[in-house]
Amino acid sequence: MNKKVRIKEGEVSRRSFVKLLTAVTAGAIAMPDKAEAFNLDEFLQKHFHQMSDEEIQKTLERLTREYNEKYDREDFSVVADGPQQGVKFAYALNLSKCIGCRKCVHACVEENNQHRGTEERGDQIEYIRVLEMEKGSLDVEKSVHDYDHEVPAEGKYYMPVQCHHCNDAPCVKACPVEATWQEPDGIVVVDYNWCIGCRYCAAACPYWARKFNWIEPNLPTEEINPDTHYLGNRPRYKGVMEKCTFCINRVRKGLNPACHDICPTGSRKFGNILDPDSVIRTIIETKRIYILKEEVGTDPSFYYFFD
Amino acid sequence: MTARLLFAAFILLPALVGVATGQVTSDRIEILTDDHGYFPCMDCHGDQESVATPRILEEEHGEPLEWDDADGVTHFVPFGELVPISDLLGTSGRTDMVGKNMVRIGTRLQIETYMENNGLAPEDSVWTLVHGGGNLWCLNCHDSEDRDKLVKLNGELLTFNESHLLCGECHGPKLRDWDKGIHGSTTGYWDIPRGDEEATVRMLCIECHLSHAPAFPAMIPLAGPITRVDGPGAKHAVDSGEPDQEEGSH
Repeated sequence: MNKKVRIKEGEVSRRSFVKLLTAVTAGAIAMPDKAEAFNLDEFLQKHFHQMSDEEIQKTLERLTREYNEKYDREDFSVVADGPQQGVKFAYALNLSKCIGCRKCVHACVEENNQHRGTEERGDQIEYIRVLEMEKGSLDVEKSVHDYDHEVPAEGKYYMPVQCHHCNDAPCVKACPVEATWQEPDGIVVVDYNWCIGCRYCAAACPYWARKFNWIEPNLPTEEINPDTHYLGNRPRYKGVMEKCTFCINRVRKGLNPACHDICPTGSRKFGNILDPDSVIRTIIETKRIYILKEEVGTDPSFYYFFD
Repeated sequence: MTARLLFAAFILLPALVGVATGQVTSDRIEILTDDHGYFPCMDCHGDQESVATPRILEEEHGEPLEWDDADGVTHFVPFGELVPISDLLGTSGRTDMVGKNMVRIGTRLQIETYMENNGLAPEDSVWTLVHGGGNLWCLNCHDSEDRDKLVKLNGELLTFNESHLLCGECHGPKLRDWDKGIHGSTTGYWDIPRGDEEATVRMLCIECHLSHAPAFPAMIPLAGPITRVDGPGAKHAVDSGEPDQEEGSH
């Protein structure tokens, strides 16, 4: 039985509809909005651990090119310096000395190319929160982090909190796609090209140390730090998680983190915990150490001390 | 009986001898504590003389020192040529009285450098000595002959670059910690052998602390975070103008 389907004039056949849909999809891919440009290299990029040295190098070159173009600069440098043999980083902060001036907070923002916030939202991303605590108490629930009076205030002390680079990190365990991990030198990093933005890690972190890019990061060209690291302070994308990396772009070159060097009171100490002569090792061996939320068993690389 | 003999021999007799020779009197103790503070005797007196003979200093370092005694009479220590206090302090007049009612003036060089570096005007009262709880004066730290030199308790002279050795005489544990790198600011490289040694800076005591007022001054902190989370001090909760729970419950 020869059954003919008659197409009336002006009607769309199934075949022509599929053709049209294919054409529109192809067109959308071929002529996208610049901000949402589809990048085949980026799409096909492997997990950082699965890339060969050559592939990593190509990725770094591509990112350098993209950032220079996006931010209208010529001095971008994206590197992927690896961990140093025999080095395990640790950080110590002297609670007796910190005066709560927040210089560390803002030095961190500038060094790490963080989202500067927008006028409507005012949501600058900051890796460090300085808690104003009651003297004689370690109860963080009674702390205040948006104080704006003269410091140090009577009867208060200050506890800056940032990523503790836990050796048993709940954020790493929570990530469903292994986009975050702890490097051999102790730094917990995020691959922004692998992160799917599920924010499970932020929910898992007991220190509120992970920050999410809810919108396209606002990063003024003139405020950019062009010396970047693939796993650290390179510009981020909308919809990815980010966090403190002990300034991986600096510490992998032997420099101190930015928050360490800006501190006017010398409260912040950083170094290689495996070196028996290091400052950090001496502090841990000789001072009274306090580990924030030790009971949650995350085994942090960040210590508070008193003297 | 034995106890009484021992008391007479070792306590009573030496005390009586002391009073008789004028070495121990209640007046003298009062003078030392009330009028002079706790200065080492030899800062004001000659080797063997009980009358005050202040040492005359070089004219270029001859800043005057004055104090008010218990009766309100002003005394001057004539260090070199006397200069009116108002000339030294500019138009601001006298600084705050500190310690044992004394106006204390530090080494001009250091104070001026500090003021210049910190953008302070002359009327900012960095001239006041707020250090040592009123128990220090110029010559505890500065050499009497050359105020640009520091002097240790054993008489050894130090430059300002060696000031930590002087500070450590009172602040021993801090010097120990500074020596190990625990106390004080260090900038540059954590990995010094790998990095540039010259780019690694270890701050001396007087690079962070003003030696005449070493406590960190109070300051306005840089901007805090904009919080969207309820909690004590949350900005949006304050700005919303909503009554707090106590008011709302009445």
